Amino acid sequence: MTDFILRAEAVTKDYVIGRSLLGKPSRVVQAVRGVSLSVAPGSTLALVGESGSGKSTLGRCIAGLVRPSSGRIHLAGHDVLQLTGVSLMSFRRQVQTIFQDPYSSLNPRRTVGEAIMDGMAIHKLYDAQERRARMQSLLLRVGLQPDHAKRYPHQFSGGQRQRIAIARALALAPRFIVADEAVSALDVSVKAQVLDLLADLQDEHGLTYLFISHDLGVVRHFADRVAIMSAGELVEEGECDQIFEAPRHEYTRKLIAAVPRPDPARRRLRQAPA
Amino acid sequence: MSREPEALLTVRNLAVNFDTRQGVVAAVKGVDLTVRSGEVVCLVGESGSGKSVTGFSLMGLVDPPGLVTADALRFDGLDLMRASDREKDALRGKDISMVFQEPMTALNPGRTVGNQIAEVIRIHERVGREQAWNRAVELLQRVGIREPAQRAKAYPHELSGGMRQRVMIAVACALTPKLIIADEPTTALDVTVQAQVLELLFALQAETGAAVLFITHDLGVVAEIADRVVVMQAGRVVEEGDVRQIFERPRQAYTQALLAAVPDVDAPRDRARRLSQRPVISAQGAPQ
Amino acid sequence: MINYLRNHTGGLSVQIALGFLTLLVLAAAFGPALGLADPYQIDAANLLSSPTWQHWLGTDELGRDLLSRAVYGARVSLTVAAAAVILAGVLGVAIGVSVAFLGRRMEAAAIRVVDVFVSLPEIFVALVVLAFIGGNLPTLIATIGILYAPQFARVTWGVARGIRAREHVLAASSLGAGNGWIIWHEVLPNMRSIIAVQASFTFSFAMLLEAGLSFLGLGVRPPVPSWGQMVGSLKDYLFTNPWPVLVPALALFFTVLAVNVLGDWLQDVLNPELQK
Repeated sequence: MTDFILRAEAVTKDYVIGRSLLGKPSRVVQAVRGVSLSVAPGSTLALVGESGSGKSTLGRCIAGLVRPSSGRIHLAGHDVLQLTGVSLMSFRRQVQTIFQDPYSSLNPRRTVGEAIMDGMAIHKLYDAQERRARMQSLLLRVGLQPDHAKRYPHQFSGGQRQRIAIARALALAPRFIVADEAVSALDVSVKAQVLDLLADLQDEHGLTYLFISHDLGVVRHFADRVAIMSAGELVEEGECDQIFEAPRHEYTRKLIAAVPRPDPARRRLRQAPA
Repeated sequence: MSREPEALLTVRNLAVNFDTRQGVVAAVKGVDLTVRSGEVVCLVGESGSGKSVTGFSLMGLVDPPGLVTADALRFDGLDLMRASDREKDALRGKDISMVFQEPMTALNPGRTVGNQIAEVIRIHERVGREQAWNRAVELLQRVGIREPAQRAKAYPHELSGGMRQRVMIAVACALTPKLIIADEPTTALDVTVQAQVLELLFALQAETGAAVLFITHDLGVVAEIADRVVVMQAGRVVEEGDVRQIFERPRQAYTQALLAAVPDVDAPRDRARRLSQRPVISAQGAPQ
Repeated sequence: MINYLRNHTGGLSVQIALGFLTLLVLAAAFGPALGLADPYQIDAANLLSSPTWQHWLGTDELGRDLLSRAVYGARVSLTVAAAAVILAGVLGVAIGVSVAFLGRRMEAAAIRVVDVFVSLPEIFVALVVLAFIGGNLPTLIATIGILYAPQFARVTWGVARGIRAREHVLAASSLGAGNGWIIWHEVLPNMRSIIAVQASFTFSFAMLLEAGLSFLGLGVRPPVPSWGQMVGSLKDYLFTNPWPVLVPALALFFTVLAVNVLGDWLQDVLNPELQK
């Protein structure tokens, strides 16, 4: 029996939208409704859903960025709902997030080098010289140059910024990375390069990914296991090829059927071309 | 040997330059484009390829500091480079219409959707208010909006993204145009909604025989809908051809790389597979 | 940012404003060293005179050289306003940013308290305070500075809230940063433009408040010159000898105008940067 690196049980997250005059919640949105899942170390679980499915919220609960309303989350040996002080810092070193928007996830007033070294500075790791050396080797690893460290985010393209974000996430040598639509905002060719980079890094460092995405083509290519969410609930979960070839749930079937295929011979919307 | 009938839209050497503080930016650099009646042409490219600017310039929507020049720009026999503003206005919305990416910005948030459709009708045809309204409601029904009479009184922000896009299509199809220019109309939509909207758009297209110039970066969509494909990069046309040829026998390296970069949802998982050809790191430095 | 400013130099009015203020500051800083007349020297033979070779801007009611008093007055008015702005800025930013990180319920209560202070009429409060405590320069600066801090706090709170919601702040939390780190590295550096704009406007308010207080006799005490105070003592002669009172009055007017023009321009120019 594998030891799971992530075990989430019955996670729910409610958002109170309206309150009555007395302060009692009048309208509540259930963003995540009782979702349970587990992930084996070194693997990739894709969390798939359309907008409003709750996948991003669940991802943030798992990463300890949002407090769930109820449930239990054990990740990288930590109880995510009981993190304080020392355990919180230790958790942050193990679990990192890469966000969707490369234009807002980097501080415009901090150089790229500073952004990558921030994690090490916050956790008081290494001395200044070693931090710099590690930062430069991270830049190289993600396909950038060491002298890029002096530049500011606005001087880079979207794809380059995502690479900087990846370097920043790797600086603390985490075990688990939540990629929250990390490639969704990128151009086709850049997306491919960043996905390849993530795959290579997973092989090199034995990383575990929670890959949140709405793009089923990318998910089939990238994930070991897939969990489908709709309206806050976990609809179906299983091994990648199995989900795509033999989906059990109606919604999963509908989702897969709706994805356009990059092959005119298999088109369904119009007549196949001559 | 019979002469081929003239294409509906002929564009030769289209160039669009923007005069900015940093100098002249050439967004489109000499593009040739042809769309025949009833044909679906996909204009494919990544960001910065100039595909959207091309689409806008065909509708005359490029404003100063942008400057549109072309050797030829003919639509349905009319020379658009020499046509008067009046002639061009008569075309827009009637013979050529456009569907935009973000319906929230393309639709007027201060007017009901019914009114917006009716307005387009009344600009081009002499019909009374009530008649235009009724046609608007009919159109809403045709685009698959339930309770159309009720919905016609709604404002754009009260509708979902998919419904707004259907309204946009209703506006675009109100006067049975000969050419519909669609600029990334489904990019912002969920995949199931995208499928519905595309189904609608091409059902209407089949019915009316309109030609469609569909601008997108999504190669899956292109494969589903295109008759012909035009691939753009950095303001130029890199390759064009009919859809099967482009997907099965791409000639240019850029096209090949683009196709290789798109994972197919029907292809079994291969953990060792990589989508890009170049390594991410090289000895000298960063590939862009 | 400096490069951005250079590329977006405003129109003629901005350049004139900038030129005027630079000259003013230089005159205030170095004027006395360049051999001005003694501002306290009474020339009994030439009371309230118009400009002469001896007194380039004329003299006041006690025969003191107006040019010299205007320059010394500039030193006082500018220093008081600048010091007050710094005080208001430091206090205001500290309060505003802290409130943004208090947690939802405390934040709502705290900002209401700040709003109460914002709505206080500065001149009345200042009058009361100075009447009781007495007006030496440090007290004056402290009073004015504290009076304008709430406004600063309100503005910075609003901006800090916006920045707090940004993804790079969430990313910093994800790295393990606490509120202190986030405020210092993620929030404050992104507020530079808004603080600069707010400071420029507060400067003109502070200057006018000091002038008003000195005019009423509660600010800078004679014989130390300050523009407001000069207006106060020369106004009695407005109908017999209008020229002398114009010197400090126009000095005030043009300085505040210049600062406002600059502040408006800063706001326009820095806005796209704020949106970025």
